[in-house]
Amino acid sequence: MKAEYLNPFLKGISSILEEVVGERPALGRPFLRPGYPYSVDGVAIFIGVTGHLSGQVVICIQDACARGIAAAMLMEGSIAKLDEYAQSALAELVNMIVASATIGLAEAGYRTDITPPSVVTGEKIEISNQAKIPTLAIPLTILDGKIEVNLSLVEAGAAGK
Amino acid sequence: MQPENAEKKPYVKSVRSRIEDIVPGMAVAEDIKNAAGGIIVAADTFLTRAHIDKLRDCGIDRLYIQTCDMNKEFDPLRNKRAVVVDDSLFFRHMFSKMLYRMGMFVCGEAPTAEDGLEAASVYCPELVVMDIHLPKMDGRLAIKHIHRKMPQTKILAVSTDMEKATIIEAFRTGANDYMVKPIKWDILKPRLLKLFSENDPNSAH
Repeated sequence: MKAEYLNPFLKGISSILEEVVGERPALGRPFLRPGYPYSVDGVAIFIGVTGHLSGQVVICIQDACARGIAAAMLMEGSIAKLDEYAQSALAELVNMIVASATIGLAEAGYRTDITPPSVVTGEKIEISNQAKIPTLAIPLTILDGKIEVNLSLVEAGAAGK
Repeated sequence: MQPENAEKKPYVKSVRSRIEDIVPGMAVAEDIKNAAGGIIVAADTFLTRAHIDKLRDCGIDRLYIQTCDMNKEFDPLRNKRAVVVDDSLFFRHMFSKMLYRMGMFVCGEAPTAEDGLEAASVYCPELVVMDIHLPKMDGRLAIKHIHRKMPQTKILAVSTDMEKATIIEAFRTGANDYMVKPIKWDILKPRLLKLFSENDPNSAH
């Protein structure tokens, strides 16, 4: 994973989260996942990427943190359960983050398109990837909860071979 | 997730009697038949989650609480009709909430350009908020149709897409303004006021 892929995501994550949640996330140290599957709890939002880069972005948010973010986005005091509105808010959040990253990617010479987001909730969600694209995880903290941004991206042509 | 096209039509014609059954004494706006996809209730109406679930069961998926700021500042927007077209439920919900707060009347919400065009032709709104990237018909094509049929209607294009070419294309097809998501109240307010204070009826955009 080259820095030129990573930086647009770091920028998108910080700026969009700060704008919609009103709190700047504390970014942790990115690390390479040892392999698949990896498992997460809470909410996982998937967005596919195609074009000069292909693969997927999976943003995993702990349940309480996800409810906090959705509440902030929906301008509600608190949210007890991740209902349709809250899920739609989170999907939109991830859509905005990845869309903003694609601008930075385009500036670095990678033109990409993104798919509409899908939201998966539950405990011990196991995520694997058929193309075995290495995953770079970026941990971050916001609203006293944890988020992990998982980037499984490869330059087009290299995936699945 | 349920496919968006399985949703009920974005506008509900007349639901008054059913609402009064569910929430006794609820103040329902007179022009309820225009309250697309939802109903308007007075700000002091206390609704529980159970009420809302029941309302949803009978096809009402949106509640608008009348808290519109009576500030004179919003006079150019007051009671103007709007149709909001976006495939994100969150975006439609939040945008409508903000438009209501400015005194506008959201008469239609639609998840696709096709539904949006239908709502626009039914309500002839003063404002259409149109997402650019939509599942079937593209937002830019829908803007073109609306602009041709209703040149007086102001069209606000919205998208996460901030590419120059997309923005230029949106203006070229007839959009009056273009905003990149996320769209916050503080940013939307001056832009909408500007859109509606340009009072020249012949303003060709």
